[in-house]
Amino acid sequence: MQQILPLIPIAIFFLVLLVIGYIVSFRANHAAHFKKEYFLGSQNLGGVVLAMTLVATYGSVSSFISGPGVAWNLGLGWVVFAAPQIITAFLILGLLGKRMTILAHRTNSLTVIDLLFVRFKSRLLSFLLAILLIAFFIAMIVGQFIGGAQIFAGLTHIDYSLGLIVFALVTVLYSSSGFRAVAITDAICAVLMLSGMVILAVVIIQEGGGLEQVMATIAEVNLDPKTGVSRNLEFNAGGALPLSLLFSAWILVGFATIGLPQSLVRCMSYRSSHELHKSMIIATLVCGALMIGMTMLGVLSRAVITTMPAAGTDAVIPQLISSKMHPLIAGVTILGPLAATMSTVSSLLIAASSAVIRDLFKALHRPAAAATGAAAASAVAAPEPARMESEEAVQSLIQEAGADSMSYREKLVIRGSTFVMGFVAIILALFPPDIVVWVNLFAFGGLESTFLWPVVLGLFWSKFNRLGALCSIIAALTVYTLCSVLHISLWSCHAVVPALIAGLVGAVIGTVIGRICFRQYLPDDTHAIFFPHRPLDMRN
Amino acid sequence: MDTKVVVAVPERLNSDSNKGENTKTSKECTDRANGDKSPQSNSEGQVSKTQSVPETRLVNSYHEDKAHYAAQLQQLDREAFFTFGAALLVTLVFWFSIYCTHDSSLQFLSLPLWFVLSCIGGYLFSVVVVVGLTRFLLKPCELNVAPVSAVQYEASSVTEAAADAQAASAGAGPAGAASALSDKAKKLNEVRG
Repeated sequence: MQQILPLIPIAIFFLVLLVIGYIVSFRANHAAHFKKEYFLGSQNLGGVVLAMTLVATYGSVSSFISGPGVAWNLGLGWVVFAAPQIITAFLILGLLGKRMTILAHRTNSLTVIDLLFVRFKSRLLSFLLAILLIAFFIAMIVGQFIGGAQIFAGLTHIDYSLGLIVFALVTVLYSSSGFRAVAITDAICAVLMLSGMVILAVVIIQEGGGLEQVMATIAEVNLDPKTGVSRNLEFNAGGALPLSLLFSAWILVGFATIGLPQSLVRCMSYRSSHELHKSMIIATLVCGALMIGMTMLGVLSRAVITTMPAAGTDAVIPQLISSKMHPLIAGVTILGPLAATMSTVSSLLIAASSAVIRDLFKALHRPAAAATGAAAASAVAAPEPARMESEEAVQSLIQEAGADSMSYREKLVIRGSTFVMGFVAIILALFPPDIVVWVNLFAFGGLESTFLWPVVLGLFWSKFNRLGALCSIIAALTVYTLCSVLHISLWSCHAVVPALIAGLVGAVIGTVIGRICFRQYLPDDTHAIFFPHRPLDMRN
Repeated sequence: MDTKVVVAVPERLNSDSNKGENTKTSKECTDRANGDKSPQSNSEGQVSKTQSVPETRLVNSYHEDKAHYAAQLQQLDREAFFTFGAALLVTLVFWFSIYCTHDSSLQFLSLPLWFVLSCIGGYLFSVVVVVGLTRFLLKPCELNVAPVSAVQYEASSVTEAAADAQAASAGAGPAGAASALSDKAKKLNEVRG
């Protein structure tokens, strides 16, 4: 009975997710614009759902398990590392929210890469972005599946493989119902994450003998012999977290998160600017509470879990849940990390599916030219015939995106692609190859390195061209990979910092070369869409 | 698709005369283009000979839409600047709190002062900043702009309307020109949905 009790809330939770998925799927089938409904929820999300889906997408299994585990070890310094997330939600929505929605309406774009294709008119660039996005997303999904299944199986005492299959299948099934299903379930997940956090807080404070006693206990651990003060109470964890690393956290989980495509697509999905403003406030409130709150709970849990678990710091929160809670309460609390995992996976899955259907498949099947290397090079150089061909491709993309009628088969293909990708991720999670595990470790920074400059400079710098975008991606990813693999540390900064600096330098150099050598100026029609308020690009 | 007029549009948008007409939404523009009277007809149903063909409601609709769109993006540039500034402000306040208090032994609710001020205070400050940002600096704006396909059709319509009206005027007189423009406005509305 003690083993079955935690399963009750989990079973109800899974059932609710599947029912929502089914209802939304039925609604999507009858929507006037199926693709817009499937990939963007008909751009009709309210402020609360937008805020919650953004936060739930951002908060993953590491926010609930790994982060608090590290905080248990390092103390309040890790909260300083996680704190930049207080700016994440409002920064991306305020900086890009309205612009991306307006541009999505203007160009009938359904994905971020759609929009970048209209901006740069380069199938090579779209293809590269789609491939990188899919690779990083699949690796991240596999990582989330493994982490989520470990919690699920560990706390419910069922077989790991069975737990993974059940948990992952539910996620894949409701995710294949489309963006609206993902957004609504994300909102529910965010509420469950908050409730899980509150329950954990109550248990930790109670078990630790009150906040004062908890802090007194923490003050006695990990003492610095020189000062006699606990390292867990210092902002830099007694030197374990150098200032440069803490500053680079403001880039990694703060400013550079505006380059994450799974967050960017949410900037194209709401109904009005009023709802956007509302969601900026709610998302900042919830995101800050969750990220700072959960990390802080990790610090405080040192007073309850006094010795390092045998399985490492990742086991701190699961051990807390399983050993200090009534099984039924434990079942409700587990929903927090499970919801965090499932919401992240569903968002990645639907975005990866759109990348396959919209970006990769379309890039391959748009009128020739980019399929061969030589043609791809010509598309970069953009002589007149290639440019005209690219413009035709843009027009076909726009017309195709706005198409009203879709056959049952076409709808099935779109849904099926999400399901197949999920299925592949489940297989990879069951038998994880080293390369997937490795890519997962660097996926977050890799996505930022890939997308940040093409998105930001593409939307704000009218002179930025396709060669600049390509150089930026190549430079940023190369530096990021080298720094990560060879453990090269630039003043102890996170690898994303030199990568983004290299990406910016590459963007500027590539743009200059593109303008001088290949005459890659902003076409007038692109200017009219993206920068009508700025002077026309001068050709001489 | 004919894009030659689109090429000319930004130059017109940059002119001062268009900058003052940024308050109408694209829907209003569409409604105006869909007027049941022919665009330049007077009370007798005659087209005024003193007004040139491009200065029709159709043309106005097109240029107002473009001008409105340009003004929106200009506003969004400002909002992006304010948002980035707000994020920088939160960052600075956060680190300034740590810089000033990390050596202090004072505590609040048993927590170190630097932590309360930077992490908890910084979080609350970020909420206040966002509320201020959305209340005073970010403006409501029309997001559901016309798709580029409609705008480009409109651009070509402006040229075609002018040519049709001139041809009709030469053949059937002013009434023919008015009829040609009216047909073009109806087609335009169909494209815009």
